[in-house]
Amino acid sequence: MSTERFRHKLMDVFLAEQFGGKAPPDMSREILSRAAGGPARAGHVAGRGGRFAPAGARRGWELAAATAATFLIAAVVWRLATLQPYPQPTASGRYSVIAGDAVRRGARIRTGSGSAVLELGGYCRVTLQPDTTLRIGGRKRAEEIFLETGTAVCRIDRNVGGFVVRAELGTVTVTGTEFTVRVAQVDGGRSMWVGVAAGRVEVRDDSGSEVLLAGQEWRVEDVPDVPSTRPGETRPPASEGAKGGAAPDGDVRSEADNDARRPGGVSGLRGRRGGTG
Amino acid sequence: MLVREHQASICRYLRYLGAGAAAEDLTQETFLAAFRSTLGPDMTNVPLRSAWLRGISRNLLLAHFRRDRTNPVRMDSEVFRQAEDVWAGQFPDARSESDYGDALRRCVEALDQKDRNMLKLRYAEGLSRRQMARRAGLSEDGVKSLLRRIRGRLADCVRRRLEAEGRP
Repeated sequence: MSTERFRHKLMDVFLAEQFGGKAPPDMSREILSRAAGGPARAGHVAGRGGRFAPAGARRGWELAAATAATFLIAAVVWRLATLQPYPQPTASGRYSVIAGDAVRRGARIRTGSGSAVLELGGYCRVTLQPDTTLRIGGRKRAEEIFLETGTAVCRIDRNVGGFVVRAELGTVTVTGTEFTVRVAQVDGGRSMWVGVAAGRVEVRDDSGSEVLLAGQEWRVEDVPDVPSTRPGETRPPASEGAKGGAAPDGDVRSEADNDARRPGGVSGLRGRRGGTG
Repeated sequence: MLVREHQASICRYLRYLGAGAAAEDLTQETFLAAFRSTLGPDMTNVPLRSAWLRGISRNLLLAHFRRDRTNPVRMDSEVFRQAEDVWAGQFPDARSESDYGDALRRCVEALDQKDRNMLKLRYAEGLSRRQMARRAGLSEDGVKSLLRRIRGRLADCVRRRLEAEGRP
């Protein structure tokens, strides 16, 4: 670029001022305020884009910060919109609350001649057969019932939370499966029977624990002077006869239905405790 | 004091170097950088102080050009040096800028109406050469030549006036 060209350019600047009203503005207040970190700088940070707007890089930072803030706000709004409260226990069907004023943790529930369905935590569906009594316990994502008597068919969604069925004779712990627990009075004593329809459960009693896979069952009795059941023998739960059993869909089915769904047969009795005699 | 005395000159200088819309921002940045600097010249020497501020603004403008990828660098430091020589030769002190502006204003007023109209199209309305040619019924080359002649006349007029007033 020649000297003459620069002279013309210099003249261009002055002509633009004279004809276009582009005289340099008085920026002294803004400059001094920015130097002192005062309110003019705050206006600049807020992205006025005019006199206070900085060159290049700082505008890039502002854009990046604004983008990050937008994403953050969107994520928080989305989380709040999708956040659902943890479900409280609910029950449907024919039942009565015999301890407590409603279906909630600590309440005892009893079915009469009909059945009922208990929903816990949104991932445990417990079908209570007739003449079943249980108490609701547990906590958030660790649901628990104490089965006093009767039959509960449990279907648990996987990878949501834990579920425990406690009874006087043992405990069943699962994390995602479908099984039946039956507690009954038998021959002057008590019995507990567990049948697994899907997944796996861990059963535990005074003598230890055992893992049951789908198709296997487990029983423990506490009766006076009853001969031991031989290993491998399949025997329906005492006093329940053909009533109980669980199907994979969680419905209560007959023993015949249940067996038809388990062609491999049950694995036999896993435990027989009792006989104080 | 430093700001009031030099801000217009620095802003004008940045426009002269091609800063365009960024001139005002860079003017502010120039003074902020000057305030932060611990290596300033003798602040009682006005020409030296002015040259120092122009140096800061040139560096900021070069950095701005390098950052602004949509606006590729049009000038490098060597071209900036030539531009600085012309500016420093024309405006050895702060007063010379206003003298130049006053002289130019009077010389523009002395132009005939046709030439002033061309300058208005160019600087007041911001038309391109092509648009000016269409408006004035000339070719683009004709507009270019006409503008060059007008600028030449203005440059001669300004020089005569400044010399008559004892200014360079």
